[in-house]
Amino acid sequence: MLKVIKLNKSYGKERVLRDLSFSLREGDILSILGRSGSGKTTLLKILAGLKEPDGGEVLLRGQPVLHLPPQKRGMVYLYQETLLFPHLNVFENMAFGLRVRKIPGSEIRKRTEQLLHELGMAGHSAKMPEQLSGGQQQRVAFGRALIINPSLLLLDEPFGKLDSRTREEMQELFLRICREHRISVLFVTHDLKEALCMGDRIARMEQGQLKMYAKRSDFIRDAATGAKKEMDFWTGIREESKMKNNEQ
Amino acid sequence: MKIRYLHRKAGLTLHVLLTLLPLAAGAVYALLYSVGLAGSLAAGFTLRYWESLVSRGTLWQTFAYSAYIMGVSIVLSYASALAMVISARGRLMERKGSRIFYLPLAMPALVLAFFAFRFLSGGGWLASLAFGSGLIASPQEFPELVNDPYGLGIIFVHFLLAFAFFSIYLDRVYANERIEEQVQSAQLLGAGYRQSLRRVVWPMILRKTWPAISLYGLFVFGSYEVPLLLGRSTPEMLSVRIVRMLSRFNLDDRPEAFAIVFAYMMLTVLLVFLLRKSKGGLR
Repeated sequence: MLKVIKLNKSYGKERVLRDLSFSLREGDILSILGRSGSGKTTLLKILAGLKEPDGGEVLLRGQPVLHLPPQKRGMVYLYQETLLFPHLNVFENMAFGLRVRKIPGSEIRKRTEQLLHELGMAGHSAKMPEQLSGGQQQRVAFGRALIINPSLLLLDEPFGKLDSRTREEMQELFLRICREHRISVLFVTHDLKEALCMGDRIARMEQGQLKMYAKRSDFIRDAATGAKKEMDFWTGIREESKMKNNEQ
Repeated sequence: MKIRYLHRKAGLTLHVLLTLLPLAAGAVYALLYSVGLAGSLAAGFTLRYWESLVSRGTLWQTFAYSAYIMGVSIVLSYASALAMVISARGRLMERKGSRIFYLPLAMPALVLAFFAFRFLSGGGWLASLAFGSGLIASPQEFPELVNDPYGLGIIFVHFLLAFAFFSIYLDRVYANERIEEQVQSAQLLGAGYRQSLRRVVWPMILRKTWPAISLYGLFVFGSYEVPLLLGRSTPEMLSVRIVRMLSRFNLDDRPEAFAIVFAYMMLTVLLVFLLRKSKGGLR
């Protein structure tokens, strides 16, 4: 459904994206792992229409989209920070995309209430964003994007600011909703575990290009991902505690 | 902990002593003077000065004229500054030469009023230019732009001052509230540029700047030097009228002047109270 062909982008002399190409199937979640400054955010912003590439092509369901403004691409980009509209309550934040499309009021109410219920936010619809916890804000931001049925969700480290427990809850909720709605997602993270948990497929951003891994085991085997090293570390800790237990 | 508590208490007491107490004392004195219980004319309680003000329409006329000057100056300057800040996307103050915006604010209002007089009056630079270029045959043909019934000269100076203030202030608000990213969010959710302005930029900025607009409005409402130099005797702005009434030989005017002072103070208190109650207001 998404095909990226030889995308290029430079900032001054620094080439951030070099002939970057990949494709994504309908309903797939692709985790993109990479260091800070590796060009992950630039890639998402180009796809969303917030930045212009120097060259290349992007096809969504076979149609070129690079010439379209952000509001006509059918992609929603979610930042690490939720950026909820502070002057609107939860209901109106969620319904924003429907209001600007001039959907009838009764339809807006029905769809928004249904999604609020699905996201476990039904009792919070009248609250203002500043009255919500980080996790709740993230749910509203997610719902605000989902309600307009985007062709593609672009998530830029969306759970990066949440504590570990809320983060796990959000990951579970996010996966469940994405599966139910069959949403295609590009999920950018620098967290190894999150990339493995969330993605149907995994890719790694390196020197302006995207290295795709056919299988999870290929990703783990590649020393550059750091996955093996991480696993060895935890295995070592487990072995050490086992030995201590045996000695006692 | 205790020291911090004492510091806070001391600060609050000082604030009450230095600012609120003199204001409250002034308000009480003005009220007592206006009802014949204080001052050189004190001869027992009476409402005749208030009745005289209300029946002659002086009070309403002065308030209405001041409100008109305030409304036009603030609306024009705020709208122009907002349009400029939006077009600069909150980076107005990063541009070269942007420090010029501080210039009108650093200048005394009286100096600006004087320049405006030299620029806009019948014998001023603009009239000379019009005469020199053959647009008018004599200075009398030049339209009244100062000391005029519509307060054009006063509005012009207040516009200059408020435009500079709002440009600097709105530029900061635009950046601090991350309006540019909010516009992007709105557009990604399907809003066109105009929709994002109407549904996001405008309500967000207005919510944040409403207290500053109101307080600046009060400042214009009670301004003195600018209308003194550029206004005329009828209609007259509030502060000019009060000072003129207080300095007249007719002592009967004084209680009426104090009545206007008291009404103005109550209006200010009411506004501050409403601002504290409003969302995003004074805290």
